[in-house]
Amino acid sequence: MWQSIVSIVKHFFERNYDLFLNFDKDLNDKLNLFGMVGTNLRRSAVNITDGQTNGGLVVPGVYSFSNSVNTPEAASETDAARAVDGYLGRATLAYDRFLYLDLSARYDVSSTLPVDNNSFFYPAATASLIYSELFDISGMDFGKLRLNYAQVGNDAPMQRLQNIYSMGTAFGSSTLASAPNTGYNSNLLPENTTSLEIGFENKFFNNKLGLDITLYQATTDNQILAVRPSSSSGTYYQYVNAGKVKNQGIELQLYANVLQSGDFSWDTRINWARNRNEVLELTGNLETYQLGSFQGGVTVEATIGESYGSIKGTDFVYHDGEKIVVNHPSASRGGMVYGKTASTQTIGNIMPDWTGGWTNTFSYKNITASALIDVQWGGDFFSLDTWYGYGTGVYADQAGTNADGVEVRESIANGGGLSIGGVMASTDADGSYLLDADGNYTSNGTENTVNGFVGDYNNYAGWKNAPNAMHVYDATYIKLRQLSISYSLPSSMFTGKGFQGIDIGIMARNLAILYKKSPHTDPEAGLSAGNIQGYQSGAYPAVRELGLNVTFKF
Amino acid sequence: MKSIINYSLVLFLLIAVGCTKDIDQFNNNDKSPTTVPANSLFANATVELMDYLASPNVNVNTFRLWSQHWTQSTYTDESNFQLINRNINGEVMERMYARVLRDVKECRGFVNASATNSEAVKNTQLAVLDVLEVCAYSILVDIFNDVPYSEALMGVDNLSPAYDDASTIYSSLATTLDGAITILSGSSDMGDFAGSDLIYAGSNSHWTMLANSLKLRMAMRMADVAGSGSQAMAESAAAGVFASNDDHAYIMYQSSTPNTNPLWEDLVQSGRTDFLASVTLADIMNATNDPRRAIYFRNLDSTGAITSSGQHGLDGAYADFSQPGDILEVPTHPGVLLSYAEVCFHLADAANRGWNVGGDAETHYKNGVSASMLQWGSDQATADLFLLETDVAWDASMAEQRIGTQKWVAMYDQGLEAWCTWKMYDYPAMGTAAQAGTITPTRYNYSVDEYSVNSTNVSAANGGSDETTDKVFWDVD
Repeated sequence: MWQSIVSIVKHFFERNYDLFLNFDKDLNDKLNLFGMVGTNLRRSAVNITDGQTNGGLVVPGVYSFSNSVNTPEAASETDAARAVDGYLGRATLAYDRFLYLDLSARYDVSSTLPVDNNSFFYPAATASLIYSELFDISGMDFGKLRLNYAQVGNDAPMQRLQNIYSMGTAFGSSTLASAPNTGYNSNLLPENTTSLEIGFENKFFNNKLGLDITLYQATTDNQILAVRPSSSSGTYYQYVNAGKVKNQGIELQLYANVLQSGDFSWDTRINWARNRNEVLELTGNLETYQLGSFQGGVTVEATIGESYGSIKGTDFVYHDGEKIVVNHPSASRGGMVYGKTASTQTIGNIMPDWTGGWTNTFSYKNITASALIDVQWGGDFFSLDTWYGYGTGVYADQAGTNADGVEVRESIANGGGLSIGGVMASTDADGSYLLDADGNYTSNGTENTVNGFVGDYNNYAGWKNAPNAMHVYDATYIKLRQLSISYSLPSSMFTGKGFQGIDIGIMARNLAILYKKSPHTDPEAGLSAGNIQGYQSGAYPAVRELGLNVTFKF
Repeated sequence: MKSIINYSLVLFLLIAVGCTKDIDQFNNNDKSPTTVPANSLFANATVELMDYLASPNVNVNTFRLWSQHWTQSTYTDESNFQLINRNINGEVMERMYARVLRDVKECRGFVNASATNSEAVKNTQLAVLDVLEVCAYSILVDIFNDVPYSEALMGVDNLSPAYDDASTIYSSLATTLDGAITILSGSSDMGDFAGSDLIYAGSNSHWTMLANSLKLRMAMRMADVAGSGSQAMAESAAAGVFASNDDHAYIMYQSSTPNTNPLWEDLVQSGRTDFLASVTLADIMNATNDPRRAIYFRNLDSTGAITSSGQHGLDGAYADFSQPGDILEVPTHPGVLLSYAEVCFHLADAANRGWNVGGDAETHYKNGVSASMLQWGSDQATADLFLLETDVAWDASMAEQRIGTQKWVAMYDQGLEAWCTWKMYDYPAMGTAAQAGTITPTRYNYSVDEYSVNSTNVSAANGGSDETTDKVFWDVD
């Protein structure tokens, strides 16, 4: 049995020193000024030591570094700190309880930026008009218009200004040092996000109906990113002020008290959002911000002027909307495979058209039940799982018999394989394919009647022959995300017992996928987290959680 | 009350101003050096270069498969010349530029900055670095043809370098090499590099030989390129090349990780059983009763013949066929950068063309075969007998076939050089790979990453053509 130990010790601390002077003054009987000025000094540090044995353990079960078969490599260490000195002020002017103006500004000096450019100032202003106070709109309880302009400055990650070297384990008596895989940058500037937001908040009919709408647009200048350059520049990643990225979207929220009858009530709440990013400028001569590069030859990219989050890989080649098919490259397999484009194409986009949620809450006396349905509509992902899974024949549609009643895994000569449709690629007299100017197959539209080989891993649908686009799926889903039911024990039971009540609840998450477009897999699974969306590898089914809650109220 | 406010304000300003001064000190990295000894970078660049060449890992170096020395027992993608799925073509660029050439470049900076070394020592060290750099760039050209050169390695100042014409790069490399040879042959002290020199332990004369041998290799690559000056290049190099197996360039790997031979890592440490003898090498060695069969491979049949799955690129059960020999499974097995055997075959080729490199083609050819035999632990008597075999014995009328085939067999542990040998001579004939349906390609195409982040430049490279069946500039007939 292979045994080893890995020990990672991590310390993190953050201290904030705040000194604020507050003021609150009625300037006259309608105008109030409320605000503060102050400083916020933030100090944080992270300290990591990461060591492991080398080549396993000498004595099984003794988990110590000294029990390592080979001399352990030196532990890797991180000792990094950040200091940000902030000077800030905020003032709120209120006029007669319907017009508010919030002004704030902050000036930060950060340790993570070059001394010459380590300070940044960012103001914000919000104006709110509570128009329900001004006009008497029938049925409206509350109405607010909010206009928000904000800049937010940001510093760099810690220790990203000066290139460092990594020390390797000495080769005999020769010490080894290498230039880093990620290039740092002594000329980083602070990044700045300027956002504009318009929001409406409305409540009607004694708060039985509410509608909130938010429209936003944010542009980040000088975004600090570790971009992927050509490796011929000498690094795998390079920190830069990457240019200009725009983000805009709309968020809606509707809620209603649908039914209120005696002890029974039914509330419903619907959220809906759509968000879009776009890269407007990139640093230097870089054309693409590569979000990820994956096995299978697939990349996810944000290219200037194109929609953010394009999945790129080989595509089918089409003739009048029909896929062009070509001979299997291996004569021993035979049959047809789909032709691939000569170069990578955009074969999907990771961004959903919209996302939403719908919550229904039912209460009767002491019992409350709630259900949440989550929706993602649109967006694509590439599945490395089907890419290899179809190669190795794990899916049901590659077993059994085909339309002619022959085992699909039989050879093409014996009538096996599956119908793959499409049109035949055109060839010249010698049988060489006729290609267009881009090097892609052409066709005269002759229907293909020959099956695709399925018999082993060199089949038409798996990684060896399929275009990447064949394994791009629509990430749409509708999920029963959460169900909960809770019961509050009658408060009369607790008078004089030292606390006020007990709630007992059962909660379940990820109960069911009500609808999805991707076969074989949960479209949310896999690497769909953080910045790297749109790629699935080793996807597990979502974990269904069941929880029991007991809450004591004091 | 007022005084409290005043004191607060004073305190506030003191804290704020006091801290903000020298705030950049917080960003210091006390755990990683910002300067390192030049010799540590030199040693690392050497190891990275060797690791690439020695590795049989299918994500890294596929040339033991592309040269049809080996084939895979299962998952035969790379034996069938697949490059994109596992980003193999991207990996070689990353390794050469980001790991080898970048270290060489950074190392130059520290060499030049040295306060203790004399100008002569600095120049020697820079010349040694030049040799490594030429080696790395020539590898890139031999694999891809056009690659970034004049705009490469500029870090943040150029994130998408343009591609340079391959023959122009080769000429520039030859000039660099000549400069290095001049300096190395006139110096004797490489200072603090000596203790970090994993190849020659600080022997300048051997680095001079390596530089000349590399120059000869590059000259012979271009032998059929009109106007390349290859004859003069070969003739000027010939006098200074390796003279015996004692000279050839290799590093001895260590017995424990991480500085073990990558061969051991993939053949033994990984616990995998991926590689088998390719029929292409099996047939040639069997037909000539090659005594190296029992060294190159194990699990031979009862007659001592190598067994194979019958077609290159066809999978086969690991236990059923001949597997890479035990000698390749030793973690300290040397990694070869350039061998004396290779040099002999280059000299044989040059002499066969009537170039004045000293000696005749037959002698050089026999020296090459013998050097390989001795390199693999056999002896001269065995080599002499082998040289009498019908298809091995020197035949001036079949010189290219003899040189190409026997050099290709000798380059067993130099997969890239074996593949280049076939590209140079078109001998031996490569088999059609079972699944690819083609013989071995003549170049790598460019990686998906280059088309992703450097698309304008990569699309213009090689006159806009990027097929694996295209040929590098020196592969002209």
